[in-house]
Amino acid sequence: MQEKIRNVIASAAKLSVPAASVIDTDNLHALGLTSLTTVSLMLALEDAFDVEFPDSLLSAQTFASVGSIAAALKSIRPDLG
Amino acid sequence: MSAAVQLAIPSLDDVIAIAAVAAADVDRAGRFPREAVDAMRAGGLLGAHVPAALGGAGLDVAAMTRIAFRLGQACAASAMVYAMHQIEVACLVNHGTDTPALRADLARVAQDGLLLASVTSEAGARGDIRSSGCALEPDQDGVLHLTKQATNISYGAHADGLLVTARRTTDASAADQATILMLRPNYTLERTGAWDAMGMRGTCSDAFVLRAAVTPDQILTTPFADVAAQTMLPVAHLLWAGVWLGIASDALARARACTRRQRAPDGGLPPAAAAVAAALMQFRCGEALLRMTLADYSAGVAIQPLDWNGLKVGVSEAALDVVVQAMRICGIAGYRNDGPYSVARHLRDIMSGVLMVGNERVVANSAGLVLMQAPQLGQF
Repeated sequence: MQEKIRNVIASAAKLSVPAASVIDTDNLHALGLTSLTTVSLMLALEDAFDVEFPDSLLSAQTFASVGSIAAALKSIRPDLG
Repeated sequence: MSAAVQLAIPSLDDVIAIAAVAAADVDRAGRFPREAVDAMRAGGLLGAHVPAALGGAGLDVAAMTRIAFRLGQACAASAMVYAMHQIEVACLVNHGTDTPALRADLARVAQDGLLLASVTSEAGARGDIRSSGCALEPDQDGVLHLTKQATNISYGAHADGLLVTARRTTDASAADQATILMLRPNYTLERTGAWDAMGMRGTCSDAFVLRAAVTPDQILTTPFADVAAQTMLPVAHLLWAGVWLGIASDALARARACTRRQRAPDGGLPPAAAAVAAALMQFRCGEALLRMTLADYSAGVAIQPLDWNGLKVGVSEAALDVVVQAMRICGIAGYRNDGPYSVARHLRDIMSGVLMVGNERVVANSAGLVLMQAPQLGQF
């Protein structure tokens, strides 16, 4: 799942570094993720994983790292584990 | 919702859920929201504004307004029935506790969950509640008889009691009105016209002929002119504003949810997202007006008639604008009567806000007032 998340980041997040080099705990906001690109990333993740983030998960923390995104996706769709 | 409300009305979430489930059927059938009102009665909500000393929950008008908002999100008709009942209760709480008979009746409202309706409209009065044609007529035993042709009594057929305006005596002028509380079986209603309207269908605001025989101790000691100015109009404007913002907020939530599912071809923001943001700004204008007025009212600050009119017009227009924008955002999904993004019922219901006491009429009333007193501006 982490690889698929990186692919989505590469296409939607416009980071200052290649998404492939981002490790699970890197802070995406520190790597150039803005409030606007967070929205694009969120929408792209919903499409890629066929989920809808509930309002309770729409926070900067959810999209702070590959690891936190993976945890949020698993909480919505346990079968992604 | 505040902890005080949760403590006073622990079943409020259940009441709201019941109202929400029934809302579409209530609207489609134009029927009374019986299950929601039964739940209000069972949960103590009908007596929520009655002082604790008389068996009620003693919630203040601010709490009552927040409940109106939440009910408005679920079912506008249920919310409006709740609001109209609480307006009558507020009139009794503020002006009807100085006679033993009325105190006892108010205690029954809380303990038995009596539902009260308003009988202010009258054929020939052209919507002016401060004018009555009918009059109380005493017989030789001192019993007062009244016959009133009411153009609308919202949920009249389902109410347990009525608050009625009439001329004090057959010699009194049209503006010399008494307010009378009557409970079944001291009155009868003969239905003379049915309510089949575009929205607020579940309020069942039919036309009736009221016939009543009451005792003098059922009359509020405060003249209706003061009941109206001090309690009925202020509380009505606050609770209605709560209901209207509730309707608008649910429409806005549906428009946002609908937009969240939309995708721009280039992976950018959904095109309608800006419209959702604009609708939210409009919503906040109405919400701010209610919040300001409610804060002043709760603090005992005198609110001028001009500003009550401003609250009524401002919130009803803002709420209508928000729902219209929500309809545009949701498109055909909003126009449909079914589906998660339907805002058709919201639009039909919210139209009543600008029409029930027409905003043009309210503004015309303000036209005279604004020339008579310089409004205080910059109050922030």
